[in-house]
Amino acid sequence: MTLTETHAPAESAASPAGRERPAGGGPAGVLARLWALRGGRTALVTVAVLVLVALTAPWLAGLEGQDPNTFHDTLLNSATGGSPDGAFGGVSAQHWLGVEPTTGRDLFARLVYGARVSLGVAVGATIGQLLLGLLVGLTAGLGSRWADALLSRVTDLALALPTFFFSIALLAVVPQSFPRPLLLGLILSGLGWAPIARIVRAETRVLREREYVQAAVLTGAGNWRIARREILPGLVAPVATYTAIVLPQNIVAEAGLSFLGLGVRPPTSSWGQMLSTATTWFQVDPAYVLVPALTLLVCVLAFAGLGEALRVAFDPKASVPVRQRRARREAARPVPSTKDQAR
Amino acid sequence: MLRPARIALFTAASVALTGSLAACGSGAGSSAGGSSDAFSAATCQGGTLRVLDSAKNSKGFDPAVLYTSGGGAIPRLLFRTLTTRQSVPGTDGTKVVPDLATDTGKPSENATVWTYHLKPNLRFADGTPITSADIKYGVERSFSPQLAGGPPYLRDWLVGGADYQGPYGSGNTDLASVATPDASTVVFHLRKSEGDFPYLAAETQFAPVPKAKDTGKEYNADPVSSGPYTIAGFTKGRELDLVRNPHWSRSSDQQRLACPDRIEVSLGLSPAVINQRLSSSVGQDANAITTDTSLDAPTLAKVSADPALKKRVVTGKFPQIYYLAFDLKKAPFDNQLVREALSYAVDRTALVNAEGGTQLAVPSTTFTPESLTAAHQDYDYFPAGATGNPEKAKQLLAQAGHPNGITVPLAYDTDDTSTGAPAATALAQAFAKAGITLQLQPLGDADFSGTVNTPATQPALSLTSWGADWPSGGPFLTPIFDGRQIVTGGGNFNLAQYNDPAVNAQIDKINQITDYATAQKQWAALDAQLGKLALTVPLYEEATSVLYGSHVKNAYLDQWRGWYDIASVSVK
Repeated sequence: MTLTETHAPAESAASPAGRERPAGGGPAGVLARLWALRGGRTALVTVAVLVLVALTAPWLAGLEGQDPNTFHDTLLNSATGGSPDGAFGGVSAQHWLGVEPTTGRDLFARLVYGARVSLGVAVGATIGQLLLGLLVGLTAGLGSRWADALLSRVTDLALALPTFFFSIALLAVVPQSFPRPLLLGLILSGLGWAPIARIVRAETRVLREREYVQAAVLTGAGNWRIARREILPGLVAPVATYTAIVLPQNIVAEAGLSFLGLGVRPPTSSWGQMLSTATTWFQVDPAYVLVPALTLLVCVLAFAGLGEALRVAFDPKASVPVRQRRARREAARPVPSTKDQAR
Repeated sequence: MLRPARIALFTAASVALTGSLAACGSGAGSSAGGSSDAFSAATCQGGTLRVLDSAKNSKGFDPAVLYTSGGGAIPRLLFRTLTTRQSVPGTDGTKVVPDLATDTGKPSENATVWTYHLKPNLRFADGTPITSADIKYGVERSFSPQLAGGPPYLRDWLVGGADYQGPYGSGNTDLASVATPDASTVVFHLRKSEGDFPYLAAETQFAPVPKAKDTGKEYNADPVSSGPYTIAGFTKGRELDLVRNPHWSRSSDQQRLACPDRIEVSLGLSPAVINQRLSSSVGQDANAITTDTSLDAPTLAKVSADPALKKRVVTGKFPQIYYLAFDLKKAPFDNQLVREALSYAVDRTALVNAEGGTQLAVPSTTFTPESLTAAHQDYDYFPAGATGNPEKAKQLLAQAGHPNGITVPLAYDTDDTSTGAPAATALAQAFAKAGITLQLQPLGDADFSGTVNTPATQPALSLTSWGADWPSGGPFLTPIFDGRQIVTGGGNFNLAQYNDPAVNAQIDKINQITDYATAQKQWAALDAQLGKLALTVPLYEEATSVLYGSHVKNAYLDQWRGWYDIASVSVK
């Protein structure tokens, strides 16, 4: 449902960008435009921080002096269901976000290590979706009429599958001994490539008619060379934008599946797994629920914001954001003065 | 200093007030939690009791199919059996007492023949008299392949039980080892001595079934009642309505008070919903109890902080041990030193906390848990202390030729919320300190029993549990340590695959003892003797903490099963 909603604007926004080929003077230009957008900057910084947290998880946990799997019996009140002693789930100088009820494992350490799984699975799944989508989309867009018809129907079929229920079914069928993060990534990419394939196919068919592509065809370039040298650069804008949109969807999907107990295996932590064990504790230990819930919220918001900002940054018609901001500032300045005058 | 004292005085006065109100018999509107002190068996009758259960009971109530301990909770309201558990709080609740029979059975010929006489004037809910033929028919039905599901003991114990296929169809439809010399006498002929037979006779397979009313597989929806209630309405998996059986009277039944006029059971509710409804106790839920939902750790934490709620919590224990099972046929557990190392390395405090703390689990160093009082003997041959002794474990591993530690698989049941992931994780982190790396092997419920209980596929180490079918050391130790009980095809519980002829002979000898106390002492001694071999690592026994509604009285957990005895609960 969300997939179809989001892919429509991405597609329409992408087409003009493709015509200009490539937008705004290469990646550096796009990055500059992105940075100039206030939302884009915030999102970019947040995403960078989250990725940094995931990469430096052992170091961060070491800084706190904890690791994610050590039990702390002494911090729990065994007589009251194993709830943590102290306020906010046992927050202290040693345990920055408190400890997990019934085990006493450090929540901060579990959260930063959980970022590795949550972001890792989401990034892996997105890359998988991207590769599959590009492959199918390009083949359909450049291939023969028959290949196009066949692949397009397969894409329609994949698009119509209820992704979440299929993931649940597949996760339940595969033996428990299969590495879970890898399995999650494979299943999410195997079920979520269709929207990208559609965008890529549509875009490819538009680009195929451009003069420079026709020229390449006339010089006798093969399909592979055309795809790589002529079509792919034109696809960067829509695909990059769409990637930033599906990534948070994949984070949510991983969290949802882990929440249902189908995700990572103990003692590994992920944000969804943390949320899952925390839900029953919300009345007694609200901090335990809030920690993974807020992290997920911030993460998904940041990626969604980044997607939107990327769309604007890639779109040459969206006017130059730098000038816009300056203009706004200038327009904003007189306002207090008029207020002063009014006073 | 003054204020707490005044508050204390005030609450004491209000409790006394509500107490006296309840004693007047009104009880209505009093918000004080369960004033069971005002309970009187003589005036307890009336009202509607609500039961909120998570089980679906979708199989219905066929006495042949039910697998209960001591007759179960709801089944015991519908079926009277030859014997039953004693309905009293405390350890006397583990005693077996006569129900339909005049005594708990007369043994003869080395406890291989058991004779029962029925009480006079017993009637089914439809008014027909209960005879010994109905008891015999009830037992025979449980052998029928289409009514499988009950406990395995009858087939194992009765002469000719192994080949008997039940009373339906052609061929041999009569089980000769259950004899009925007259309408009020039934005699059981066993192929071996079984001093525990009176305990088995409390199971629903010993409830009378009138042959004329038997509908085979359909009987589970509307069985003919012999107990204080009969089914007024039953939607499988959803709800069950029980009303009084007009042909039942207290004068012939000393074990069931049957206080409420009506019992309405809601089935298949989520445990969280049940605990929430019982703790808020609003409207009709004030008259509610549950027969199967223990408090979970978060609810327990909430309840502990609220003195009013805390009053409505009762705790009890079902004798069930959670333990680590070794396969002695597989390395490295063929070496006793390695088994001892694991016994030393275990952190029982972490395990108890993982279960939800001391109110939901109690550490145990003995295989027969403390709650199986009569058959329990304390021992701790490999003292791990409260949180484990990894140094000693390392030392033993080095002695056994594993100076660099070992890596072993551990199978656990992911669908079992208590022996599942939390306990496995707690074990793994404690073992890691002793250089023992556990490779966790999570298995779904069906996979777990299929894999672990089949010797060919059994992993070297599994996390599992064992409960007593009745409060005796016999059914507790025999399936686990009797070498003749090793089943190669599946359904094997002797996970150690331990077969010592001397121990087998000892088991046979104890089975001949018909005096309960003497037999239990022997079982306890056998358990203590087997404990020295480190065939298992006993971890903890589960405790039950259950809430009841604020109007409910005389709610206690019977010690036989560790659950409410509905037959004694009152809402008036």
